[in-house]
Amino acid sequence: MMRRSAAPRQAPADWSADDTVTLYGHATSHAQVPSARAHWAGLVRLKRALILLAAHGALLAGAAVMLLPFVWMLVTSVRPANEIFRGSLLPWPEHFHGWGHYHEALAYVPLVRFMLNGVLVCSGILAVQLLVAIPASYALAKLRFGSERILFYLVLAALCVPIQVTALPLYLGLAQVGGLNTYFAMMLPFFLSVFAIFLLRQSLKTFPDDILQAARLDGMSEFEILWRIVVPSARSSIAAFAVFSLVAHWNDLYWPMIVISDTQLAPPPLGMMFFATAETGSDYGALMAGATVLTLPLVLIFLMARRRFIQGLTM
Amino acid sequence: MLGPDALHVDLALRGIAKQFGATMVLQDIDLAIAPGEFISLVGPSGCGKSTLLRVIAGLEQPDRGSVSLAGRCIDEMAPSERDVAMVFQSYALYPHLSVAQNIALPLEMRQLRWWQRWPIARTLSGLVSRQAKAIRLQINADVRALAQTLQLDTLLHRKPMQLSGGQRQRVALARAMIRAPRVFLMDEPLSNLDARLRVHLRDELVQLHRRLRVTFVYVTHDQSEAMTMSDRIAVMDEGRILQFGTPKQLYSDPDNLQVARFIGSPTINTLCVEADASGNWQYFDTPLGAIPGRQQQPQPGERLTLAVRPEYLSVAVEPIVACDRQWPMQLHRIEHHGADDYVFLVDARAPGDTALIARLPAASSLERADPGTAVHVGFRWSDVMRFDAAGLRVREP
Repeated sequence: MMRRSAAPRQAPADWSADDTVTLYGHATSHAQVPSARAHWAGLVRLKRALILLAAHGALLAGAAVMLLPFVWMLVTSVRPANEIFRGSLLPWPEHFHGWGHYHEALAYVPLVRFMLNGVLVCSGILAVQLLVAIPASYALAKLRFGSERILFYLVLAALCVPIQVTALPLYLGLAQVGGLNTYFAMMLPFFLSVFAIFLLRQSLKTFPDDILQAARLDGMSEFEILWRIVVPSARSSIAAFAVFSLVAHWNDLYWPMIVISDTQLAPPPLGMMFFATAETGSDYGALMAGATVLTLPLVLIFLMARRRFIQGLTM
Repeated sequence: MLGPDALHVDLALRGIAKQFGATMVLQDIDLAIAPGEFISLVGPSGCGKSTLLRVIAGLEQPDRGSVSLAGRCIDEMAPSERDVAMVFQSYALYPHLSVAQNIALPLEMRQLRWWQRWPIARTLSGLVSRQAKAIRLQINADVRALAQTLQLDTLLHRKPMQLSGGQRQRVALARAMIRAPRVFLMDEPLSNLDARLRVHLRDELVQLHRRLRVTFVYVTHDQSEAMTMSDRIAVMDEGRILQFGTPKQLYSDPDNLQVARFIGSPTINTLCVEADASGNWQYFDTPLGAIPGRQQQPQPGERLTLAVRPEYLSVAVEPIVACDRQWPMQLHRIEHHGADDYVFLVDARAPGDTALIARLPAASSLERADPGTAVHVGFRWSDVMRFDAAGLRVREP
């Protein structure tokens, strides 16, 4: 308090003496007003606050747009059926329906089974993807064997080929060997991820060569160097890729729909589709309850890996 | 000190050549190093010294030539089989392993089987194999003992990220030492450290060399590091060894102008002289007369470079008595270095081109002289080295 009251008393003398205000190119008339500097500083602070407000406003609006479907899903899952189609955007239901839809969903539909299928397929895909992509990206990033550049261009080219292109031949092949309606059929097209090879190659490229040479001098084989020295340093990128891969394949509907007709093997989205058409028809409350349950694991995984995910992408 | 004639050769390089694309990085390198010698490879950056070190380590394959260690050809051996250890400029510590694990790794690689080395095996080894556990305990004891001698014992559980530059360098040294290799290869190990620490670690390295009595091959671009630590120095440029000799030889008896210029600080002074029509040597309009000891008469227009170390130049305001030749110059600037003063001189006849540096003991008569003062500069013929137009030393009597 003391200091605060003392400052204004000394201030005018100081301020009228110095002419820093004119440095900003402002009219000299300001310089004569004792509180000109305070006025100016206030303007600057106001401007900064407005910019911050605008930036945060834009970000919040973006976040709201992203979150709205989730909110809609959550709200619908606890709404009584007659409220759902009233088109009310009110965030909270007038009559709380409680866990009713969740009970229905769990009773009619093998949600747990779908999730188990999802876990199996996603972890199988991720494991093989990493087993293939880590050595491949190490070779592309660090080994010199004459054709590494050509092979890298091939990887880049392969990034541009969408799954739809290879779907038909893969389907025919699987049908020929009687592989349809298996977990393997759901995983096969994704075992080799050129995206993983690309992402990891970029991150392994930054690993210091001196450390690799030191490891070679210490007697490590290339495989040991890779798994014991390089991989632990690339954890962030691997985690980032893992989140991408898990989200993509947990939510994938296209490929499972082609190769799976057995409800028992359906991963979450396909299961939901079976569920929506066969059992519940228009019971959107239960549908949303099911969707909520199926989205939950992904959100949890992302929240747990969030820091590494961001590290892995911003390196 | 082991001189060149302790002709028991430990590490021998014969005709090493290496090309990267169109550039010859190494051209016919021959080098014979005696056991226990401290050898430095110096030269400007890009001269091939690091590549040569990597060839010795086996990390680079030479296009031609061979390397032998203790009489055995090691060309076909993998880096880890060569009994050499290397310390890198960037230290190259394993970032996610602790100091203790970093130091232990070379021993683990040699003494444990591959399935005993996996991190899981570390916890299981006691249950599965007594022998593996015993080896591990022995390794731990070795690491701790070595850490103590390098004053790392309190840091064993830290990660490299948590260490200072000097500490990291000591960990890198420990990792190299733990294997007790026959040859230490060091690639500018001190250049990432600050000046004071560098001088301190220089001393530690010399002590270490004295204690271990193994061969050191030390790469540096800093001639003062090479001069102060090595038994012998190989000065390199553009993929060749210009001269290989003791620090004293390189300083007072260089084979060519590049070596003379590279070794010594401040840099050696050079004077370009030309023979006039009557066969007398001229330095600008200062007649130098005949060069004593030189028998043949110079051709008119013949050029020579005379080189004099800064400490052999005499400078004074009044004419100098104790010198063979002298000429007038202007004082440009004096740098005080405590015991010595570096006196920068310019020639009014050709400014810039002929700047000379003289190194005088402090408190000389020039101490207080103003810039621009006219002075006399002189030398004795016995302190002058001659180089021909190609930069090669002229040694005829």
